[in-house]
Amino acid sequence: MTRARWSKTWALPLLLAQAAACSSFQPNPSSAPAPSEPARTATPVVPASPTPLIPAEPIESGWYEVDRVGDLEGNETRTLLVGSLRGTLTAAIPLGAQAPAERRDGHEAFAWTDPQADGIFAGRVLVWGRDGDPTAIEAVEVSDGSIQPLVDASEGTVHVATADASLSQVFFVTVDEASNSPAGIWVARAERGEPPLRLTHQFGPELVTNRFSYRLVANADGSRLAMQGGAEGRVTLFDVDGDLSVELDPGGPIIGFADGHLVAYGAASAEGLRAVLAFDPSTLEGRELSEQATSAQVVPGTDGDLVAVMHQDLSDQTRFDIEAILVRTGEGRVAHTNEPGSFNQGLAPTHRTFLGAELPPDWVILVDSFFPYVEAPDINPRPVPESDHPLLLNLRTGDTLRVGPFVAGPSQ
Amino acid sequence: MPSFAGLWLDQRRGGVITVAFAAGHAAANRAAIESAAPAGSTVEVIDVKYSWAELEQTLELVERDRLALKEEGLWIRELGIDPRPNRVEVAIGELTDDAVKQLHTRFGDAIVVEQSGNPTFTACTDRYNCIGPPVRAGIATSPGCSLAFQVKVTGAPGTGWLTASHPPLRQPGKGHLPRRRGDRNDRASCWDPCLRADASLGGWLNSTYDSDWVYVQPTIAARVEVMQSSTGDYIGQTTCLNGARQTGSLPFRCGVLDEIRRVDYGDHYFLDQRYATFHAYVGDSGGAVHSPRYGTYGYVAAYGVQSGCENLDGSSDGCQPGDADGRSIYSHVAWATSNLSQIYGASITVCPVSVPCP
Repeated sequence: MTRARWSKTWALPLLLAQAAACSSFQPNPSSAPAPSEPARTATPVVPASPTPLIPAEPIESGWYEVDRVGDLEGNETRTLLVGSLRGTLTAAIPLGAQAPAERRDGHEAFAWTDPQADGIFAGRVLVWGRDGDPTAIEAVEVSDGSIQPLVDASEGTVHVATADASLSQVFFVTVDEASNSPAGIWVARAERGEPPLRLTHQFGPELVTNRFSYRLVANADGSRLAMQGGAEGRVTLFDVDGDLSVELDPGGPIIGFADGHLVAYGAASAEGLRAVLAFDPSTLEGRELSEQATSAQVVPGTDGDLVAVMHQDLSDQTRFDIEAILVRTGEGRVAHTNEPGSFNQGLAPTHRTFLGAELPPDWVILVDSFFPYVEAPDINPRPVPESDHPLLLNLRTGDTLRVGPFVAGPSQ
Repeated sequence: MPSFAGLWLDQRRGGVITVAFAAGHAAANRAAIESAAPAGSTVEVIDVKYSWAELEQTLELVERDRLALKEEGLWIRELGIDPRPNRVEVAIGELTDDAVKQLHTRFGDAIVVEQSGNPTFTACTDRYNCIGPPVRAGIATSPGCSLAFQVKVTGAPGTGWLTASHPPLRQPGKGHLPRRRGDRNDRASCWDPCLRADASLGGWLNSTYDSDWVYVQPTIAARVEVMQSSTGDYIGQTTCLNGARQTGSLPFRCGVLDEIRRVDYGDHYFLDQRYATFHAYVGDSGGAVHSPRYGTYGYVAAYGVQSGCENLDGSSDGCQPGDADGRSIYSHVAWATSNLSQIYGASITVCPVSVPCP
């Protein structure tokens, strides 16, 4: 297993012309709509609820997963599962269902924007397009499964959304259903009581489908936002307050923000292994944090943000190491080695596996899917040994804790 | 040429072009045959008992009596000329001594009677009828599924091949049940909890790579150079199926990776299954999913093992050519080999499909 090393200066893969001398954000000259153009969406944002504290103990944390299921007749459903790592399934909220005939008309149903949820932000999961309502963005309380309206993008179909850590700012991309074209990228600030504002950006000619046409990640305070077109396409990096943007091409999917840097994968090798890169937003210079990674996640830390990187033995996916890298210095070490012979869960690639837990600093959860560990009346049980259960890992101390199963309450 | 008795490639001997003549005419034709053979090829001209015309006459006699025999309880399920033993091959549903005796009495010694279900065409007349090394992906196995990649399992009987874990053709298009360790036919690599791969070890190859379960097609082989990580693919990536029901001269069908999610097979599910836009039909299960060819020698990267299809019209025979069906579904090859590692406690190597494993 090849181990990654750090602090290597990464050749800048791509910069837009306006970013060539980029010591700071600069506006994208081709992206500005008419200065007088008003924000199209006028529905006020419902203020978010007070921010709950992240629990001190990881076992008290909430979790979520978008369970996306297909069958052999072409039917598909999506359900938001939320619960506590203490061992509960709090709610299973249907996000929608679709029969095959509707999917064969050449235009995807835009209620089926994928993945339809993101989180967890201050104890809540952001949900959009639920029950076929293409303009609604809602917040689901992980603790009780209650649903609050958050934003109504009344003139556009919400394609994808995300938020800052406190859920005080919601970012989303809308689509014009008539043309399948992206219509705008917006920020809705709950605490200001303002209608959503459109950020300055000129989308390319590519049409939107319901499969990951765009992805969004924001930093913790919502001052930075990254939008990626396509699975591993160019990234537009927004200075939200300044309404400025630059572009870069990391080569692979974006992962998140850590210690002020945009963390992203590099281009894939033939085996699909990727470097993990950290880009300084002010200079767009990139550093290689790790190489030959199979997945990585950003993890808030007690002394600076960390990136957890999984390195797998390609002939046996159950053999892997988790490397913890301090983004500030690039220093890294192996925090966990999977026990040989056990079939542990791994570090999910969150750009395409839509789950997570809101954990205390330095903690990460190794889980590919919570679903097999859910015990509910309408879910077929699968025999999963405890050694296969999700694993909580402290990246600094190496402490681990297995969690699950997750038992549905009486109302589930 | 009335004495002509057949022509085939002897794959077990490395592709020897074999031409047979009856009535002792091999020697008279040898020089002409050898001069017409492609440069660099190996040709063998041999004597046999029956001419091709005589075998065809016998075949017609059997065909004529086929229905009558079935009414008498003797069901001839497969019928053809096999030039290697220089006989008409008659495969019956239930092979007994009485049945063999009855057929030989009726048709003479120009027939060979076999148990149905074990076709024995020699030359590579199509992808279903081509026996011998090298083993490659995408060829039908006798139960009706396809063959994916060869795998070398340390400490296990030797070289095996990956295929789908659900019972072939038992419930077309539905109810893909995982096979568990210890089930019949050694289709056993899907072990509890078997969460991520509808794939299993289809069997072991013997020392001459001519297992009855393996059919090969050497002309469009592609070597596997790398195996992809389970997180290494991406939506929109070009991905191809090398399944048994490939039609025409194309080596495989290509599309793009469309989605990754859990798949509910009725009474079972698998996580992390891939949906791709290439077409797949009943019989393609177990086939090799890989990258397009790249490089001078047509290498591919191994991606997965074909599992199922979206049978959108609900037809009882599953997805078929011409149906308005949807996407194909496959398991990632990395999870399949991980399953094997768990069973055998050994490292697994996915081997080039066009040559034996080292």
